[in-house]
Amino acid sequence: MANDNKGFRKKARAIMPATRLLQSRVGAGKIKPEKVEKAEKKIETVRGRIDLKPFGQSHMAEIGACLKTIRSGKHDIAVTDEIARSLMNFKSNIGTFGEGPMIGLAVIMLNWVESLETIDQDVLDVLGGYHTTLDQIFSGKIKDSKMIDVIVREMQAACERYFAKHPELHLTQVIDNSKAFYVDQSNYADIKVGLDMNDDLRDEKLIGEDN
Amino acid sequence: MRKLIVSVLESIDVGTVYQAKSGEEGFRKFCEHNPDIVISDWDMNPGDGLSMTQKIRKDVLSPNRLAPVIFLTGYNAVKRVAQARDAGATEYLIKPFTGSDLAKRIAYVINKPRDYIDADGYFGPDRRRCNSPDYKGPRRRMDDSSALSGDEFLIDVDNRT
Repeated sequence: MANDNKGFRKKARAIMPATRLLQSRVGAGKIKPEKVEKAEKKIETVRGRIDLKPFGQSHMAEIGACLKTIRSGKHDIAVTDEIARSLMNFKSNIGTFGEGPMIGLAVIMLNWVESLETIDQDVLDVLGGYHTTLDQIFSGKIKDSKMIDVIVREMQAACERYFAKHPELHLTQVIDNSKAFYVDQSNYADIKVGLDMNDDLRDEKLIGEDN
Repeated sequence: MRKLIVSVLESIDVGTVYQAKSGEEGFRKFCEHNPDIVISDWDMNPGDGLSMTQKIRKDVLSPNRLAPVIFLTGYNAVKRVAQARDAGATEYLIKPFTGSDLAKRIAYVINKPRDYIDADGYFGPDRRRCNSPDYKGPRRRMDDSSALSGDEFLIDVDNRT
């Protein structure tokens, strides 16, 4: 074994070639469009038919608890992980089951929180504003979707002002489902959102009738 | 959410779906049933998606360290994708997702199996997924033979006697 020898600075890397075992068990090829359509319908069926209030209230309580922790002064940057976790779950739930501008608000806030490196008064102000917004929406004080649109734009502007005031920070890079990720060969820390991979994920390559 | 994902999976006829509420339960069920593909959320307790994936890849009890793991999560920051990738995730899908998104990821992991890398601190699918023709940096793989030289070897040839 190479690793048993003296003088080896690093463990030898083993590369196990891709195996077709899974293909031999489950088959390979494209997924039939009618099955995909059926799957789409399953998701469409639940959209707009589930009460989002419990998601909103639980998210509001979590953000409230984080704000309390920050205001108490007994916190570190890890509290942003907790805020991000809550925002992520909220975004997932209302994005899947709901409709409308709240989804955009959750996305904006999540991307902003994921970019934070420190917690200061400005962060508290933005988070406090977000908490108040949630309260107004989920307690029914604001119902008009146009009004919610205005609030979403306000929150977005608040996040933009934060970045303008903290030019050392950059909005975190995000990906979407139309693109797969890959790693630049020169640096494993450097993830690229890959156009090449995007090509592999094109509908016609994975959905359709096999020839 | 889990119910919805299961019904989407059933719509595309994936076969038997085993469910778990947490990463710990997920790993137990993985060991018990040895499924062909794992679809995992990130935020679970006890045991999140990252730790479950690491167990699937590294734990001695894991019945199939090469099982494709598709992360299905609301996190969309690139730094999170990097964390999932370094835990050994095969694919990454962001919520909210469409039926087509999930179907394509499943087809993709079956149709395009990847090499697996066993290196210091990492076992999982090859994280290098595309060829950059203009790449000019060091080549560290044994099969990058044309470019291997000196310190760029994984094995330090200078110290061998």
